[in-house]
Amino acid sequence: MDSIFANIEHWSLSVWSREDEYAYFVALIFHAWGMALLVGGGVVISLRATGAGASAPLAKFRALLPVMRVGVLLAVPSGLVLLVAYPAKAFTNPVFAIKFACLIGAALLVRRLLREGAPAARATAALCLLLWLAGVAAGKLLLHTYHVLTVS
Amino acid sequence: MNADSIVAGIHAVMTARWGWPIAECFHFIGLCLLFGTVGFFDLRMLGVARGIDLRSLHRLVPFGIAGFATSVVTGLMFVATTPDQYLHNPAFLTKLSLMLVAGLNMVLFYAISARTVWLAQPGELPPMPARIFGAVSLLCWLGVITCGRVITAFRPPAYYWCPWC
Repeated sequence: MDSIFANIEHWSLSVWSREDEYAYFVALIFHAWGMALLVGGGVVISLRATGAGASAPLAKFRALLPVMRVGVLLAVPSGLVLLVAYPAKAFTNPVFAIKFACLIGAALLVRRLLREGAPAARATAALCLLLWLAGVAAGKLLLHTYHVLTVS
Repeated sequence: MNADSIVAGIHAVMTARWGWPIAECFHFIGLCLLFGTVGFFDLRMLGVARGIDLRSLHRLVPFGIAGFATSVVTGLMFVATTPDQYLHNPAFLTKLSLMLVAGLNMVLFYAISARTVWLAQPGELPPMPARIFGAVSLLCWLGVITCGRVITAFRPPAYYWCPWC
């Protein structure tokens, strides 16, 4: 694995992301905007599905999906820039896997919540909300839980 | 309890092994609740997801307020622990200014436009002033996220050794 990480660390994209004065921070900003749109939409749909407040039909909330997709389009490329800068840091940290497990689980549950005619399942909605927030928290913890930064 | 002992207590919690990281997690969770509910209410005023009626969507805003309170409390804990990392930091000061603008914008929205918004039917855009309040709010909170993200880039050099804060 270390040789793969070392190889990636020598990519010009990786060197640029790590060493350029602005690159890493600009990627962080786009990642934050993207995650805000993605998770923000997920939070709204989950909250509505728990029955909290809103009386608008849940099916109408499908219209938030395009905004969440814009979030993905911002968060994924910027996330890749962050990832190739320090591949060993991410892939040797189980929290990185936990982050993706939470976010993928949350996205699948959103699909289920929005499915036409599905019975309103408050527990599913609450779990969905929890997974979105846990995914964000895990992402934040990546800064505090890594044990390898670079291998080369 | 005086202010010094409160600050000393916060300092002890925040310098414990997981104190700062856990506070950061809650700071971000609070922000997600705030940006999700308020940001998407703003987007709806700008015409996104017009099928959702605004009054229904507004019922989620209390969760955003709870999130905001969470972020303010954890934010104050960061500042109380390492004040010189923040108090002269241009990113932090800009972030505070944007929060002030967002707050004034919110007061004006409820004073001037909220009643017209409740009258908008599903499928309708609210009147122009409400749309402007929505756009200002959205831009302010995206700006707050941006400034928060780069605070560490503008902190005094003395903090660069300090990955946990």
